Amino acid sequence: MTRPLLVRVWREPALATQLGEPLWEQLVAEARRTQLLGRLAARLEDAGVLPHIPRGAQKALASERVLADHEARVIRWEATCLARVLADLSDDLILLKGAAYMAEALQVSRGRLSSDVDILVPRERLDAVEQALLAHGWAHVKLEPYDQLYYRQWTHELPPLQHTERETFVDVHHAILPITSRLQPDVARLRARARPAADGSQWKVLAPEHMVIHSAVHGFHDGELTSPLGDILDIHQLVAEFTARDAAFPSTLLEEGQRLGVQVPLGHALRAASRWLGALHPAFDPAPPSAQARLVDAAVDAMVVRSLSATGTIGTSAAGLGLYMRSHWLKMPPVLLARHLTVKLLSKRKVTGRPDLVGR
Amino acid sequence: MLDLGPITLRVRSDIPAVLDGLMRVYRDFPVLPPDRFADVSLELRHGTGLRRFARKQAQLFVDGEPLFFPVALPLAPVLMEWGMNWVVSLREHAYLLVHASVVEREGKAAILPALPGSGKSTLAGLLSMSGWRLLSDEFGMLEVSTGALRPFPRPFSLKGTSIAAVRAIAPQMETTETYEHPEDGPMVLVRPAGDAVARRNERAEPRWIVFPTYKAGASLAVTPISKTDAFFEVQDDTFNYFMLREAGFEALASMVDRCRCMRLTYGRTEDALSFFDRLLAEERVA
Amino acid sequence: MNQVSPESLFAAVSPRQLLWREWDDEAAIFNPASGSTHRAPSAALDVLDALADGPATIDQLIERLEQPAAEQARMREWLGMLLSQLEQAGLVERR
Repeated sequence: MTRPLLVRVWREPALATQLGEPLWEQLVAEARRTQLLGRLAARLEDAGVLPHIPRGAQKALASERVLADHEARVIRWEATCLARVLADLSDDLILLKGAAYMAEALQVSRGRLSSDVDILVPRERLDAVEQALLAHGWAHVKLEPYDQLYYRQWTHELPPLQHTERETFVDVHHAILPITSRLQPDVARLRARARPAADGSQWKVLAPEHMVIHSAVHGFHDGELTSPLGDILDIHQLVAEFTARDAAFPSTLLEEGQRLGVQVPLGHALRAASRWLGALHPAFDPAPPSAQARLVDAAVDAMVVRSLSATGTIGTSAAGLGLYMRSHWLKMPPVLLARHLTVKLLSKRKVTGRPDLVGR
Repeated sequence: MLDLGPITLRVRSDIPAVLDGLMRVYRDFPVLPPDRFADVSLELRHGTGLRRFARKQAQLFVDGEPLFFPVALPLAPVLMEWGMNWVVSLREHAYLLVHASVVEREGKAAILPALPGSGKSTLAGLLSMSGWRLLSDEFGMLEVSTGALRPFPRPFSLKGTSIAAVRAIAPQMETTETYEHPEDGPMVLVRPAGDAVARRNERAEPRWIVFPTYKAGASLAVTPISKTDAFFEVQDDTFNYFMLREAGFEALASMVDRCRCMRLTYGRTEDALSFFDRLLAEERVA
Repeated sequence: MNQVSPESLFAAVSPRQLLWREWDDEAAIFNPASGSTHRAPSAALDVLDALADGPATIDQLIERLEQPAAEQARMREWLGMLLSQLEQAGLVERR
């Protein structure tokens, strides 16, 4: 398999200095399409190769870093503001995903684009948290009544809340998978092992093995397959960094995966990370354990390839729907699935932008 | 592949009429070899869908991704400008991007923020045909590292009666084919005048911030405004101030520090043009 | 918004990181933590500067700002309003 340019340069940053301008243009386009340009910039900066690439590419990377640095600071400020409002309600407030990576100053946070904050709160505090946020400037995004109901009945989070002035979103979770999912990792165990964040704030973060597991079930079991290469990069960077800190990390991770009953999505995630970005550790078996796992691995690979190619050529959307259905199938009983898909399809809108938004 | 100054642009189209129109207004820009890195890559293709409609429409692609709805063919060059504005506003963070027209003379620049109904494009167009150099029509690009205004002299758009107003003082003005917009009336893109393109890398010092208002029949009125007013009004009309943070604050505050700030109401072209010449004369004395 | 009482103790939020410009009797103040830019009377800069020495009540602030005794009643009222606004902007917090 010929690897996409972005993947090759990620694996071997020195290659960046050998690319001519046309290939750089292709590389930047791939990285923009997958929302990974800021992370690529950080990676190449760490490798010390930025001074040796074409000027146009330097400019593009530097500009994206401005954006990523801004978003990182938005998230940090949002976490501060949330802590002020929620600190009295629970001493068990946990940051998830991007915001947690930033609080821990992990490699995976560098150059990352995201302005949403995800938090995990005890289920019994969910109402209190929602009321407190609504009383302090957050509001529910206008959702169709069906979607409101859907969130509350079947998912593991509140409908997204947005701060009315700062316009940032917060996703309040009480579990790491929807309540209808067949897999129900024991969230009490995650919470019990959470630790104070390294940034000295009032927030806690998940234990390293739980961070990886959350990322794996989110990307490889949940419905959010919108950023396949980004999800794989997350897994790879997290596992590599945690393993460098603690040689026992890979076995801790596998044991914890078993204990929480998420070894299947964890296996998909670890195999994808090793396949695409280089072997992580001998403890991780590169071979899919079953014929079905092999099929899913192949589907993941197809998604990565597709996410890197321009959508200018239409006709690939059927594959997307297939995977969309697969991931929903795993977490919802069939009757629910049919109902949800019908409503989703009926309320689908396809507007990408107003041409007169700028330029007048 | 064109060198626009702050950015390199790759344009592709399979519609000959569109390329002809673009070449008319873009012909002053140097053509670069196709194997150079393009900061922005745009493509205009026939729309997809029902064949007889699709042939009359153009769809814009940015780096291979479709952007905006397809438009009628004569509007395609304008669509391209909109697409470029869109992309530049999302990508060029070495500059504080101010939604404004900018004109220059003797190294000194006037920033005309683009409030709705201000007629800044018309005013900038008129000035650019009367001895001032057009730095930009849509983006004032304030270079964060130097505090200078970077020219981005692209073809500028004119609408409705403005077309005739500018043509009256510049009969030689070259434009794309006129497009009749269902609501806004006629629209054209105009080839940048004089040496605007040749001097596309020559930066200018911000000296004046002028908020223009065109009011038919009104006599000329100039009201000085406080620098704090100017700071916050310009800030409201930038694309990336918030993203640039400290650098954005410093760039904008320094620009305001160096500028005389005022509102200008005018009803006649000659009044506005002589007002700008007077500004320059006062600057020479000072 | 809570009423400002004589006992309320105010502290500036990281005053040494703020960026500002003062033009005539107004100022633009940039708060790096929040990324927000605020418009304020330029006297707000004096107040933030005085608070940089440490948290203070309104009376302590008046002392730090070296205001003549005759002006104190008016100052107290004015500072109360200004501090509430600065608090709302996230530039000052109540301890």
